[in-house]
Amino acid sequence: MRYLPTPGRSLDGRKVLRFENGTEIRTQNLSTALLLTLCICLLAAVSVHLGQTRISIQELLEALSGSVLDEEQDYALWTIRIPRLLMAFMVGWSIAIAGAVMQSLARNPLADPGLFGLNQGATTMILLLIVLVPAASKLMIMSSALIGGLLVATLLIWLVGGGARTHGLAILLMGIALETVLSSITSLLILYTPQEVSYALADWLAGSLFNATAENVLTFLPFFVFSFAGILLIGPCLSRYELGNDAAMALGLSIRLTRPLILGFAVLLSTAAVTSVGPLTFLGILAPHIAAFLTPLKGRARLFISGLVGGLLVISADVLTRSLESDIPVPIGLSLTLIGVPLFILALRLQAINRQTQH
Amino acid sequence: MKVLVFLAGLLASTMAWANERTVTDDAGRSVTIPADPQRIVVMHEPVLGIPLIELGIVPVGSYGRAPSGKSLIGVDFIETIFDADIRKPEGIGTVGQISLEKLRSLKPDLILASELDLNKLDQLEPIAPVYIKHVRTPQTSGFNIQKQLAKLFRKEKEFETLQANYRERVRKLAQTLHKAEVNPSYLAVFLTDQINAIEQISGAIQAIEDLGYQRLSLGEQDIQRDSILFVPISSEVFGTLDPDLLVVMNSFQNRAADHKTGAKEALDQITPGWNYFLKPAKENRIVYLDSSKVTTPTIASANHTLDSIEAWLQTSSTNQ
Amino acid sequence: MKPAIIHDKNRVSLKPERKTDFRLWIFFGLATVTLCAVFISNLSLGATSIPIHDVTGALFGPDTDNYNQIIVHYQRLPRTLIAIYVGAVMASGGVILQTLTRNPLASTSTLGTNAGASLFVVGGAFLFDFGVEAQGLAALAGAFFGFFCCLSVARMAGRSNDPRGLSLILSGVLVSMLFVAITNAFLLSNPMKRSEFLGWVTGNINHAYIDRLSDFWWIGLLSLLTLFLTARPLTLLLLGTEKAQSAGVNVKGITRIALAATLLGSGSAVAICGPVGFIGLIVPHMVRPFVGNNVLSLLAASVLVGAVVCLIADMGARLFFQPYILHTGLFMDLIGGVVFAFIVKRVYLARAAL
Repeated sequence: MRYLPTPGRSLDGRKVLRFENGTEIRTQNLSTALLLTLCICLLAAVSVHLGQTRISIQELLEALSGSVLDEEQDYALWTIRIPRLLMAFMVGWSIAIAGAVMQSLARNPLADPGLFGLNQGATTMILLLIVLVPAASKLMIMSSALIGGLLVATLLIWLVGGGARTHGLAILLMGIALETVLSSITSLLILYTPQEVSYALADWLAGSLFNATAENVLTFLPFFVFSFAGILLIGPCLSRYELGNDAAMALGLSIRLTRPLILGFAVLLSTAAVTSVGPLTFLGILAPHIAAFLTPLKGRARLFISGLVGGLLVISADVLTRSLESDIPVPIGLSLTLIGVPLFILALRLQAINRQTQH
Repeated sequence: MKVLVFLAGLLASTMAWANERTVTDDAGRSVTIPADPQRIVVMHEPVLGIPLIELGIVPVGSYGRAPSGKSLIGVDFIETIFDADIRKPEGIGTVGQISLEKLRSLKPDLILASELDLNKLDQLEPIAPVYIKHVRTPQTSGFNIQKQLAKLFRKEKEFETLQANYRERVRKLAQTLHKAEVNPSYLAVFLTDQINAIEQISGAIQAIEDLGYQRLSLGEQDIQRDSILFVPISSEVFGTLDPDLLVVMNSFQNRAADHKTGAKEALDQITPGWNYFLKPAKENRIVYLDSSKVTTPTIASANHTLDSIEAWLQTSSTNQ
Repeated sequence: MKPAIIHDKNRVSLKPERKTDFRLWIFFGLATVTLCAVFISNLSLGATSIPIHDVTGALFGPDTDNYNQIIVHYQRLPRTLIAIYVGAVMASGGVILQTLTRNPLASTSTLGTNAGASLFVVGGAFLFDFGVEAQGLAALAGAFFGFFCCLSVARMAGRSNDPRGLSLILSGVLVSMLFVAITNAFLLSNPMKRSEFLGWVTGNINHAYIDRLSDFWWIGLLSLLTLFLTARPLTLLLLGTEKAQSAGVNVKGITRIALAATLLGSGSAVAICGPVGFIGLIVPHMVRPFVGNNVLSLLAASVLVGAVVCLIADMGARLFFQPYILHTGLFMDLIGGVVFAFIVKRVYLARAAL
């Protein structure tokens, strides 16, 4: 019984579960996480159920417990829907965490990996590859996207100067500048390549979970696992960043050392996601905000819950994309916007009201 | 007698073997395809599907159509190019949203794709063998795609007949055309809100070149055939060009009553005053083509081009 | 966290003194001369250089037999007029938005206006098959929509300690990204129609759209006139809301009028040549060191310099990459991004601690 956490109260008087080694988890956060997981499971069931091939709930449960479906169902379930589901969750998770990290770093609630030009770095590289080397291997695409993202991050740090006193917002603004320059390169490609190629580029830019094969899910897995390590390591420093650079330094944080590391972590997660499904703008902002609305958060819990919300959002966007049977294509990015923006506005509105009533 | 039985057996076994064959596609992959594919899905209808349909093979599925068969790419090339009532292939999802389950439910025995689909191989190959056909210039031009497809699907005879008829038309038409000029030149443009020289593989270009016209050299503005970039012609330069034949296509989305008026309106916008200074315009050397009929790399499109040129010849002879 | 205000060093020069008056006149004189020079060279330079006498001939009744004059009259002149219109309207819009939001990064391209306008145009054309006039109206409506989306996102995400109104810029960029994504989804839905809108949607000065200028020029003129009329109260507004109110300025009313004029103007500009970015951002910064912070002189200077910059950009896009012609919008985005970085570096990084 020694290892079981004991209920108690934290310094600010909230209910927590305290572990033997001193780690505390707020009960409210824990219940939110459980609730989110439940939602994800429900949506996952819907997502797996949805599609041309009919698979009843009973067959689904049987299949998950190991029985064999008929060939068509087997294909639909194991080759298409389950990998798609996993990929959607992992991508959402990664982008949300990258966004949350960037927001702490820039100390601004509107920071997004897309705004920093990180996504654009990766995107530009991938588009160049599509044009110049159509037969590029997955590994090549992945690594050049990573290089693109890291290049932008390095450029960003170099441009704002490594100075510890540089404000996070300046990084963000510089990111917007880089983003603009890079997108004009993207437009150059889209405008001046032959129609067929240009169309393929635009198609890729719209984002799609089409690439979610079992193999690609496995490729993404290391990043997903890595994100946990990142959360554990980076989570605590982030809450110090949120207090401001001076305070962070006063608390013994080396900004020169940690900032590139944190940025690198965000780059890794966001470029991996971009490579797999294309750029998903807004998710990096949406998820942490909705998470913060659900429960007061900081540090590791913030990253963790944001990740869960991100996964939930992408899964629901995928469900929407697949259930709409319109002749106008609804790319995943668009359905994410359709679902996320109203939620985002609601969350911000309610947060503002909360703030007002508190004061 | 025994020998005969043996031979018959051997023959039968080779027949069984012959149900499948291994070919090398344009990407250098070796693909095992059915000897006589019956259920083909095309990933690029205008460039791969239309040539097949002309050869008498109607694909069961096509990317860019709704499941009902309604075209989602703005123009239904099957309707514009062929007079006959042709069964529409089923769609496999909206653009960018291929539904693999739908694709699989069509039970294709061959998927015909282009080099732009190379990144989709992992998903497509488990469903059916995928044959990659290069569609980008400069690897392909004119009827090459159709010819190679005819060879692949053992439709050489059909292709030869079509080509023979077409050549006969070209021969007759060429006799009535250009008596004076030596090596007459042509320039083909596609109008959007700017003037784009056409470098694409299309039946129109093939037909015009078969009639003996040579591509007008644009000097410094010349677009390299192997360039990955595709840049419009300056409208200022355009006015000074004097090809023996100017071929004008309006963009696919035509607000005007017919393609000819549409093209003229577009010219009015892009190069106002063109009918005063553009020499081909003054001397009635402009042929207007309907882009939704002539842009596919097929003999059918080339024939549509010949139709337009014949019509143009008649008007110019009545004028004289 | 000390609330540094960016305009503080210019506050002294709100009312031009006699000494600076002289400098001001020199600046305006030079700007006008430059505008004329650039105007003429824009008409004369291009794929072929056209002698001046042909240019002047084309301006005063073109000779339809002279190809040079036809080019100048039908192609270069419309292009030049569009460039001047867009430059003047966008730059003055930038001045007003930067004044009202007290934010050096504000402009129609960073506050969602341009993206909103282009979304409405493309959406209208793809969903309802709008013609030219309806597209113009859609652009105007879209400009308002984009700006108000940006405002509401900023307000909702706004924090109390945000002295420079950066949330506004961020939400503007975000809203723009979102709108661009939706616009692209529309474009993707119809490959054939896409090829028609592709050039416009990246922002291009193209004489083929001169019809739209002849439809909408009065909007821009009206908007400029309104802005000039509100320049004095706006200058007072720079001193702070309370001071302006005590000087008898109807703050709310003036703000609304100025905003409406700006949005209408930029909406009409987008209708003509697509979301051409960054003129509005850069130009006010270029002229501020010369004319100070008086809104009237800022506006006048921006109109002139905006036109000059746009003309030069157009010329650059046509000449630098010969024989190819680059889209003017692309060219400006490329330069605009670099200048944006430069402003950030100078204004935000020089005083590192916010």
